[in-house]
Amino acid sequence: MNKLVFFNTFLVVFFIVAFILIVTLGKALRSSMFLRRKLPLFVCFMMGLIMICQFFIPSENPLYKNIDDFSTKWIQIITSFSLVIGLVSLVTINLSKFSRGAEDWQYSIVLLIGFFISSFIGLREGLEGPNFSFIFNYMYTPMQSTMFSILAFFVASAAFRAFRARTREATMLLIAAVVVMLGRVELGSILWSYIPVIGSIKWLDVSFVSQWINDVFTTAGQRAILLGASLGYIAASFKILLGIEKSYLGSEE
Amino acid sequence: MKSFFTMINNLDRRIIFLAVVLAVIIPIVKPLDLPVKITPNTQNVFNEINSLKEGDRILISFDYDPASGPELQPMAKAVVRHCFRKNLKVIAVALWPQGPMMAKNAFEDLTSEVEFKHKTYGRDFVNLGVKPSFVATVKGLGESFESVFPSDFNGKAFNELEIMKGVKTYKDISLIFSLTTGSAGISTYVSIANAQYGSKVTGGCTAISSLEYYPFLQSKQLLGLVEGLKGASEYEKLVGKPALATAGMDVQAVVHMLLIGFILLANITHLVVGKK
Repeated sequence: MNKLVFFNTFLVVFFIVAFILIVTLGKALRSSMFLRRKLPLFVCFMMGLIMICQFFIPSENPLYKNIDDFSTKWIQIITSFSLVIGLVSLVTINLSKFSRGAEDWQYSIVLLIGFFISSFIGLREGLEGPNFSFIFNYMYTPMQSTMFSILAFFVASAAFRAFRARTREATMLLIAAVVVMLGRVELGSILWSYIPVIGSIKWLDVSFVSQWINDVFTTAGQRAILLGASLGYIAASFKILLGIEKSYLGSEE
Repeated sequence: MKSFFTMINNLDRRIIFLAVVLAVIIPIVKPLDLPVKITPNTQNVFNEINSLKEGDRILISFDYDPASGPELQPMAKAVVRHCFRKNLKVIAVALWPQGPMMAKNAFEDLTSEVEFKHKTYGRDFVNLGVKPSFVATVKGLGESFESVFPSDFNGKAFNELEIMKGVKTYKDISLIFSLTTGSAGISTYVSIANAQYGSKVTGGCTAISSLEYYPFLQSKQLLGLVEGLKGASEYEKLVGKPALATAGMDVQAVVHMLLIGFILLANITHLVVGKK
């Protein structure tokens, strides 16, 4: 147990000392190639290595588990700070838009008022408070639902204007889409059953055919996309871990 | 005749919008009471939850926001209803910031019913809230629940919650059910909780994203999937309590038919009038 406490303390002290050094030793140290390039690459490589090891090499060793636990917590801490940066950026940009009188500055005021009021109420009474619940249930929820439901209108309009059998491929897509749409609702099955001959054949029921299209064709395509994206993701990750891809560090200058 | 199709071809989109409005309103005012047919994916989720024993713990992850609420909130309530009836211990977490509020609303709606008045927070169900980084959260739960959630959504300490006594990792959870609308959710639980810790994972999602999870269903990494409003209405039927999803399916059916009608009309017009 002492080893674990020592390890945790060591890491915390290490990061604090590193931070103090960077701040106090000034520009010379900050602009050094080691701090700007090599140290971030080393930290990135080590963190990647830890995450790969903890996934592929399970171990009950307490020190190993502690490193795993520690790295998970660090991810959460860093993500929390990125949230703070996001919020500061949001407020700064909108304040600037308002003060400059930029185009659509009125929306920035609405955003800032909404942001500060909900933050103030949330911080004051907690997320379970009646006023915060009121904002969430009677303002935020209806607004989000409205935005999402508008999609139905645009989909209807877009389907009417764009979904046309201009080519052989478009015709196949159109037939598949109509069958899947019919199969997704019971009304489709009922109407399908009225079609002479086809409607009476059980294995040609629209819900069955719709599910078959999803299970066979769509899943095959989906699996191909998933595998392709995963392989690309692995390749990109290796490039970052090995320092080949360095664009996330910013420019060389 | 050709002038009629030319008119249709140049149809004002406001007429289309009006037709959609009517297709939504009419089934609400006059329900169609369409039958609900259970699909195997929904049945599998029901069977998995039904096979759990009284007192078993189920982790329900609320990974959505109010925008997906019309599809996923009825689903959440139907699944929690099933869990409550089976006297399972429900542990709610979230990978989306708005998730805990969705969980809170679902629990409040159900515990206000006479059937579940006796269900007590902290003993029968708990809302642990949300933590930054969904990958780190799902990964962290495999090592220690208490470490990731030292307190619940209300700030009550982990060790003061009766339901969490003896819960250390995924090994102490019988089943995971994730309500998903985006990248954080089912995929995360499948790739970490199932692949790394061997947990049983099921889920529910919006209809538009359901096909994304079919490869996991076929590989049995995902044991069942409740798909969109249709899946939710099926689950409501399975638990014997038709509610919002069942009513919503009438609307969806009519809107689907309207869309198909528009697509067919547009293509007939296209054939008659030509590309112009």
